[in-house]
Amino acid sequence: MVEIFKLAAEAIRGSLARKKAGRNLTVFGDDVFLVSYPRSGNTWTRFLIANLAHPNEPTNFANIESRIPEIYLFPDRVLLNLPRPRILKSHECFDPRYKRVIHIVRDPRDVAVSHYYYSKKRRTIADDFRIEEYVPRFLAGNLTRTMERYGCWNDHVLSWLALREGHRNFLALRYEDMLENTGRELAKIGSFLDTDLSRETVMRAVERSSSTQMRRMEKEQSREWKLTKGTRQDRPFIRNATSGIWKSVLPSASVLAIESAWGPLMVSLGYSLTQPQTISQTLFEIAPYSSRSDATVAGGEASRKR
Amino acid sequence: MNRSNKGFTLWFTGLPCSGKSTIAALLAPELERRGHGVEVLDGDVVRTHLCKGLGFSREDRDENIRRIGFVAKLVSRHGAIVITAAISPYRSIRDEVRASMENFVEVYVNTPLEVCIRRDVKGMYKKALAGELKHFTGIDDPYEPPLNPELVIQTDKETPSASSGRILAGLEQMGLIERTSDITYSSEEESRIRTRLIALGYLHA
Repeated sequence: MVEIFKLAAEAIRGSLARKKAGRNLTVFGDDVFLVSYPRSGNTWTRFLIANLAHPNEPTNFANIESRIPEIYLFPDRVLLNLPRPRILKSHECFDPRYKRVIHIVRDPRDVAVSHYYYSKKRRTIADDFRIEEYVPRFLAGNLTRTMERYGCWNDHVLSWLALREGHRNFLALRYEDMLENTGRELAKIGSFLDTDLSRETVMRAVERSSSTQMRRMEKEQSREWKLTKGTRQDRPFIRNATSGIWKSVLPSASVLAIESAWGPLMVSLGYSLTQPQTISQTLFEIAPYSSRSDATVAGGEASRKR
Repeated sequence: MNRSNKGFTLWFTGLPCSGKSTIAALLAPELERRGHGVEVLDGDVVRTHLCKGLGFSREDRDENIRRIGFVAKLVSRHGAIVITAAISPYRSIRDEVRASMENFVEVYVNTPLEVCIRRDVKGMYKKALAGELKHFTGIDDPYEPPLNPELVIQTDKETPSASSGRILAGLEQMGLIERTSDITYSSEEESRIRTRLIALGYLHA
């Protein structure tokens, strides 16, 4: 009988040791977190930073997890052994323990489209699931249990910006600005991380992380990479890598639904709405975005590709 | 890791200079030490950012509290502890915030007005009493104490660390944080330790 309890205790210990860190990650004060809502350019940014920090050997899907690991793929004890300061990828809603954060935000209409296709890749939805039906689930943020934990796009983004925007240890970036001038935005990241900032290093990192390069590497390594190995191989992880794709994919009713739910925050971030709404007061002023001269991104401009 | 995933909001309310921020500043590191993620939303600090541009009219004060409450709800829902230290003088808006979230713990910092006036950390009471500052809570704007707060502390009768200790004990009792091992001494043991510490020169007789 005692043996049975011993075995059970061992099994529990074993499963705890394999349990991925996620929200229960042990956090150190010098950790840097790359945070975004899923499908907002986080993987691309990981490649950019890793290529900046490791100029001697290009980053690929086989070594990215050892350079900038995702906290949902490894147990805490594995991440504890990484050299410090660690750079970690996270999709968590505001966590006060994260002291140094690079935060990426993307137009939620594009995030919705990207999510839709990614859900097909992951077999969360069937191939014939219509995007019109998908958008309400995306707005509610309850597609999967994991997504429910992250919260919806609005709550997620707002939680970070409301509490950390303007802080010295918080770097706020927009995916669209990164597409428009990758070198400039990567230089900001480099300076935030105190990494070598020669123009040559930055441009080499940009080139090594281009969508063409990343698509090529995905084709070769998709079956091995932890994030994609169990997913459908006929659908890519790296998709358009553009801004404004929603204009050709999202039905206008879905666009309106997103804009009426999250309009105030979208406007604060510089994402123009298709239907001018009467927004008497935006909930919070997001200064780094709203005060910029190049704040108009998705509304009237042509899509940009990287 | 000794970290419960239960987030909650610890909502301090009380007159200006009643001791809200002082106790919040003592509690936050202790809760962090116990493995929790803690964010303090200090009334004076959020007004420069989260609640920028809001004044002190009834509407603006309500909007200020609504915003703090909204963020507290967002963050505590995801497992963190939010400590708010804003005067939050009006009962109705506090109750509105309470109704909007789970795990709302109201802490009434019940410090008598005359004690707060004596403290007057920033000289604001002096200005308000001289009529130079309008809409000042406790002087020419009302403070409505909570009717059923989860915890009440009296900073004129105990030290800030004693208040902080009582709040931690309250949170343990509510099951919101884990109990730490209780160390209790009998009065006899206490007096023996005291005599020993005096003999060693650490305490004065």
